[in-house]
Amino acid sequence: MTPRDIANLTPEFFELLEALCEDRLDQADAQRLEQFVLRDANARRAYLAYLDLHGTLHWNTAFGTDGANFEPAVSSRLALDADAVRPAAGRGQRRLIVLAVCVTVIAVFSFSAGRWFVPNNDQTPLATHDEPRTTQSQDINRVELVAVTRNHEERSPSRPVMLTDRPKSENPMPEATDDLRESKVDGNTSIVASDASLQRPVGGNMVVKGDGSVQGIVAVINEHLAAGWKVQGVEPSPLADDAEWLRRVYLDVVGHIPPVDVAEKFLADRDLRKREKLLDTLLDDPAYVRNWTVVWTNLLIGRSDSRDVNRPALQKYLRESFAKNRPWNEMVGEFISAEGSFDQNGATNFLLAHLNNQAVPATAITAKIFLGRQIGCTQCHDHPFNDWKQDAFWSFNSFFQQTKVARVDRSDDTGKMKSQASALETKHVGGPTHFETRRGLMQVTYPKFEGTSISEDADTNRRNELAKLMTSGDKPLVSESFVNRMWDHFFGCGFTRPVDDMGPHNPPSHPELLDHLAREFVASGYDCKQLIRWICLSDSYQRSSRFGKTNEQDNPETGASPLFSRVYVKGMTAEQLYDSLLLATGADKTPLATGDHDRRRHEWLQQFVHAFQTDENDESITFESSITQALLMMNSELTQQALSMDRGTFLEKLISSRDPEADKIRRLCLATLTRYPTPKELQALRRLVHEGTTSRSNPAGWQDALWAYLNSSEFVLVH
Amino acid sequence: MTESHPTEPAEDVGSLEQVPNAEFVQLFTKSQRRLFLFILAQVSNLADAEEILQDTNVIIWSKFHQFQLGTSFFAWAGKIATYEILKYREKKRVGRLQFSDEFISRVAAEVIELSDELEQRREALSECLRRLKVDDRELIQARYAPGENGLKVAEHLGRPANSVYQSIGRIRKVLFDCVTRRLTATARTT
Repeated sequence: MTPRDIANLTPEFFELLEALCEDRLDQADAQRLEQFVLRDANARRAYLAYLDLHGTLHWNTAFGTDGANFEPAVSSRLALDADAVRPAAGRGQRRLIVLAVCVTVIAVFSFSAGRWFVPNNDQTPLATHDEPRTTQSQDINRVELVAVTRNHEERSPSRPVMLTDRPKSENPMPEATDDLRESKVDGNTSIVASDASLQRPVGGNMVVKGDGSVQGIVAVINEHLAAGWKVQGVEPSPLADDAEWLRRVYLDVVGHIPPVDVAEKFLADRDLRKREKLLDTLLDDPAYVRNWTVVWTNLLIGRSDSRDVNRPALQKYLRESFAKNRPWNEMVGEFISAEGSFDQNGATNFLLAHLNNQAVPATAITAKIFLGRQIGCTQCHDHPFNDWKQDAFWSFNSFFQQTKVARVDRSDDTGKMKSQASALETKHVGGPTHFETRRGLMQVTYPKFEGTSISEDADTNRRNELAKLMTSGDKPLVSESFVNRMWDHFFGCGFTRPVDDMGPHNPPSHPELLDHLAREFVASGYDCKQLIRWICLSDSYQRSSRFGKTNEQDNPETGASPLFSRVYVKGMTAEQLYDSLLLATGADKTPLATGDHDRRRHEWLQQFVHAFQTDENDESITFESSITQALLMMNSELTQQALSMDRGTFLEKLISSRDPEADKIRRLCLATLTRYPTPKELQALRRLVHEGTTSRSNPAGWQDALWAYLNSSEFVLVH
Repeated sequence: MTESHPTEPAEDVGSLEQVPNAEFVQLFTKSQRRLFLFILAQVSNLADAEEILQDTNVIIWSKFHQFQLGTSFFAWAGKIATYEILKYREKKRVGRLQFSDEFISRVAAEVIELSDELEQRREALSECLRRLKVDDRELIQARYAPGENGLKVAEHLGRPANSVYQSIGRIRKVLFDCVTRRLTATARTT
């Protein structure tokens, strides 16, 4: 049974099943259900699966989860993992080996703590278990041994655990350090390589007053964060080398890993200001527009197709807005006050997605997304809250009271009706909004935002007023919450956790800095690109995501307040992974920027997405950067394309080039992980390639190597 | 227990054991949930299915020596269960919700055909349960706590029954869809 089979079944059928589960089926219903089940094989299977689910839930709670009392054998989780690592027949065995080599030689991260980690030898038994070819097994063991010794060398307590050893790995601060020193000497004005980024400020209370220039604001950020390190007795992580920084800034700003040619050029570039220059290039890259369109489409209407919105029109609106770098407050204002049909005014789609259920989701989601405030719970009756809060919810909700969703017919030239469009309209009604308190008392409230009331006349367009109230002032919540969200996007942690739950109950880690940035952001004219510059050029963002004894306490995963003495590791989003995979492998030879690509990716994503019908229109994405999920994806059709030798793929070009083999492997590593292989890694991969590749027409060894790299956790993380 | 079947010892008294051996017990316990679900598919009511399972178990235990180790335990036990379902339907013909005989036989045939997929779905379910929102998970746990049903849960919570039915129905559908999706995703990789 596939999701499509189920989609073909009617809601009535599921209602009958539900009634059956709750013993509410009468004889007529039962006959109706029988008809469904007898006529349609799909319905029959769904009936069985549904009852089976019902029965399993009953059984498991009565007799213990998973019927543990009765079936102690295999936990379901294990079974699933085993499925995940069982790729397409035939080559599967070999891939497991490759993966194991990869795990020991390259792989290097642990997800759980969000920190870099020494390779975990637990994973190596994978290889010995499944390997029928003994020669290969011996190889694995040797590689494993090498990996273990290497780790011991690196585990000296005096410096952070270095995960990827590079030729210069004896030096904890490679390349970049030299740049810094040089820049100091010749007085180059490079911001990244400014003195502030190298030296700790002397006095904690001597906070730099920004002059509004990029340098000034970056200096303020550096100052504030360094003051925090000093108080906490933390030494920040060493600066990230160019490769680490390049990969990160690419993923964060444009949503995919750097192309191999760019990486090659960037790493060889001796220009002291190359980081700033690269950032400028990225901000002008068409992929910048694509990336932020994806990010905001997901936030505004979610990934699921379940709602009645015009996704392409919203994306067009976002694309145009980000391409022009329009002020953020203008965009927010348009989302709030949008009117018209969903195809002609893309901004209407945000509210259209959430106007169900008395605009309760719209109220909660507007507050959450644009104001960073979670007020959803204050509308409901089941939680303890004070009446003022409930009142605030409904007076905010009152702004949406005039909003009406209409259907507009679309006809072609001949006047024949072609389709229907949804539209946002404003009803000219006034008056209060009613709501029920916990004690069942009916109350009234009027449109009021942050203490400012507006007229409740029918002629006052409430959403227009709200848009004005929300987006004006020296430091409105719109600015503060946007800064916080962007900070979280780049650092893997916001000033508050969760990023959209700000307020007195959840104070930010760096209140003054947040305040300062929020004001500067307003002063800049809500310039998104400037904000990105401030963040990406800050000292902290130049730092490695690796950490050592001196700052291991700086780990928000443990609940500690973030100090930003390093950049926290984050998992790639599904979109980032998809785009990076295509970019690295040329699995899809059509250019990334076309609309078709977006559609294909969207369809691909649907298998991971599920929308909940809750008051906040939540949805879950079952795609997380866990190894299991990555493997599930990696063994898909998409990966088959990625590994294919069709003309134009990365692999095809790589193998047919006349370069020496070692250069090819280096290029392979650079294209996937944005770094060059370590000497030992190179050696292991050469062996792998040799053993698997029998001829040019059978490049299995090369495919294994690429597959291994794509499956490494180093690939699926942003670090 | 064998005493209750006076005709059987006559067949082969010498080789008969008096109590089921460990392997039988293991097969028995392992098959319980599957047997329950097999019965449920045909009678569609949890309480009825439990009662029939009890009856079936009594027969299984009393006839354990008829089972030949090495053959399919479930196939053997399933036959007993099918017979018990029939008996139960006869007994309860009056005043109970009834599906037609045709319905029962079609469903019974299908449930065997589908048994692998159903087993996979049960495994996927626990992961889907973990992924539920906390509130939803608590609600569904409350619903399936022993002796509970939607109506009683609504009374405990002081919520209108219809709204609780709706919430529970939504969560069940979420789980159902989640399981289907996970299976599809797994199928793609194998």
